[in-house]
This record gives sequence, C-alpha cells and structure tokens, in this order.
Amino acid sequence: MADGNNLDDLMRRGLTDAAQPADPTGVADALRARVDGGDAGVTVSSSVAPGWGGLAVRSWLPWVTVVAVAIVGGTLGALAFFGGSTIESTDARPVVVESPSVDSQSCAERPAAGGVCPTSEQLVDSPAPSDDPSEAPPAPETDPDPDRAPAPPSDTTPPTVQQVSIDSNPCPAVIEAVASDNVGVTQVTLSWSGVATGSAAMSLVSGTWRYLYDSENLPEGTMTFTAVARDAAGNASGPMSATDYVVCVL
Amino acid sequence: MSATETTRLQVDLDEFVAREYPKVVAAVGMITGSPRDAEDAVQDAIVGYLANPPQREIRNLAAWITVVASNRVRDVQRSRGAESRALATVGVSDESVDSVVEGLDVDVVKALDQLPLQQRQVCVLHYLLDQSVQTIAEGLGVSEGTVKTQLHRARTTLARLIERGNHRG
Repeated sequence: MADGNNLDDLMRRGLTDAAQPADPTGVADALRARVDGGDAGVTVSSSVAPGWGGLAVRSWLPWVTVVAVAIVGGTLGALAFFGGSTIESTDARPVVVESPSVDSQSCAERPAAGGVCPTSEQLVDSPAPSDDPSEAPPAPETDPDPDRAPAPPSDTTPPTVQQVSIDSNPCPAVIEAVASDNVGVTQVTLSWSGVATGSAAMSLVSGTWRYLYDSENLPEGTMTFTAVARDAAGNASGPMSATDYVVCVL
Repeated sequence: MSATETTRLQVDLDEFVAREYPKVVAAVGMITGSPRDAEDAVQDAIVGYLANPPQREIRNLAAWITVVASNRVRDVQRSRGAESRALATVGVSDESVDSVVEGLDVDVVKALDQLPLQQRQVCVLHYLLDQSVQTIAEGLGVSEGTVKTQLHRARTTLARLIERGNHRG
C-alpha cells in the first residue's frame, strides 16, 4: 500500500496535472450583471431528483417516532393535544396524528368486515349517530354544590422561546430552540421558509428542543427557521426566528 | 456574514475572480468529475453568495464556494441521472450522463471519483487548493476533527485503490 508521504505527493501531482482551471476573463463583470439583474444564484435548488423515494421515508421518520412514543407511553394528554391535527411539510405528505378516541386496530379491521373507517376529522368534528338510547351523549354536567369555592384559574401564561440557533453545515443541519414556561412546554413547532417551506415538531433532547433538517437531500440556501412553543393549556409563545445559509458540508 | 463583508467581496470581486476563480472551477470539476458543469455552478454559487449572503462569517470563501458549487453539480447530476433512467425506458441513450471523469484520464482522479462526495471535497481542497486542515475547517464551519476524519478515510481508501490499480497495471 502506498505510504502516507508518497500518497500525498501522488495526489497533489495527479490532481494538479489533471486540473482544468477556468479562464476568468470577463467573469467578474458577468457576475455583477447577474446580481444587479436580480439573479439569486444557487438559492433555487433541485436537490431532490425525481424518483428518490428515500427522502419521503426519511421525512416521515420523525412523525412515526412521535406517534409511536405517544401510543406506547399512553400519554393521552399529548395525543389530545395533537388530536386530529395535520402538520404539512412541502417534502412529505401530510401526516395525520389520530385522535386518542380512535381505536386504530379495530378501525383497521372494519374495512375487512365491510365497514368504513372515518377520518380523524370526522371523528373529531362529527360524532357517529347512534340509535341506541343507552349510547346517547351524556347531559351537560351541572355543579352539585353551587356554594363550592371556584376552581383555581387555568394557566394563561404563554411559554416563551428565548433562542433559536442553526448549525447550518452538518448533514443534517441542526436547529435548536430554548423554550420555557411557568408550567412546562409540551411542544415546540418549527416552521421554515426560504428555498424550502415546511413545518415539523421539534424533539426535546437534554432540555433543548431540536430538529434535524435533512440538508443533504432537501434544498440548500438561505433559510429562516421559526419556533413557536406551546404548553399543556394550549398557550402559544410568540415566534422566534433565526436565518442562515444552510448547506450540507460534512 | 455581515453586510460589510458582502460589500467587501463585491468590491474585491475582480481580485477573487482573478486569483481564486480558476482554481475553484478546477476543484469543482475535479470533485464532480464534470468540468463542463463546474464553471456554471461556481458562478451560480458566487451570485448566490452575493445575492443572499450567509449570516455566518465565511472565512475561507474559496472553500465555501467549492462546496456549494460541487453540491450544485451533484444536484444537476442527480437530475440528469433520473432523466437518463427515464430515457432508457424508451430506448434513448444520453451519453452526457456517462461523461463522469470526462477528460480526466488520470489514475488518482479515477480513484478520487470513487470516494463519497464529502471526502472528495476535502481531498481536493487539501491536495489541489493546498489548504490545511485548519483552513478547511474554518472555511466550512466544521471542526478540525471532522475534516481530519474525512481526510483519513479518504486517504485510506485512495491508498487501497491506487495500490490495486498499480497491481493491475
């Protein structure tokens, strides 16, 4: 095998001999004309070649993880928060996180028996009618003791996002947000715009909310990432943004 | 990247083009195996840099442009590959897709072409543009350890490939 020094010399010589330097004549003026004419250069990217199915799979993975963790953990509160909501990304089909009231297994079995599975929106917005009086919706609850002390006020303090940072060169790029709340932050949603648009939920890793942007396969260029935090009571923070040129380097 | 620095490049564009541009185009051609796409990609990268400058300070513009432009060519090649596959289904050949290492019939270049893109980028920056590990790391905004790792892997593979080529030759 070639030793280190010989290899270095061989590479330097071989690459230098084979290099084809360009003629710079007139290039600077041409570039200025393009910029003055409003040309944006590489901000329009065709990173994703048609037929690259792996991208869609990778874009789905974070959501599959979110659903799996929620189901396994039985965290109804988290599911109720997600209930029936659709979060769209330009790079993947919309992902519907089903309401906890949906029994996915029995629903999956119904088509085989000739039934039809309702969508999560139908389940949330329009409860299935029933002819059985025993299944009639319960009457509104009344307070049995009107003299009882009023319940403590619900949480009305919104979370805050203190910081959004972008590590723009790794593959994938790492987007991190620092958020806090008087009770607790339950979700941070990240949206991005620029050479690509989309949104996704961030994952909590060691106290920091994190999202990995697939800069190797998604368009690269100037991107603005905006984080919004929410707490269990549904209070939402104001948006906090950061912008950088995202490019997959190493 | 501050507005001042962008302005500085605009002012120094002539100098950058005169001194760095020929080498950067050669480097991108080497990395991608497609010299004819390299020049367009480098110009696109420079225009993109001027039109939408990165917020992060770019200390090594030649390295940064090299990487952005070679990624750009990779995207074009992927698109062509898809088009070529589509054409192949109807019996039309596209010779341009096979023009990887076009005009670069050198053993080390053939070996280089077998490396992953990021290792190729580091190798060309190091061997052709003669940049140190520290300079590459600063220019690309990554740690020196990352560059060393990529370079080490590349050298190991290159040594094996070149050795194998010598035995066959």
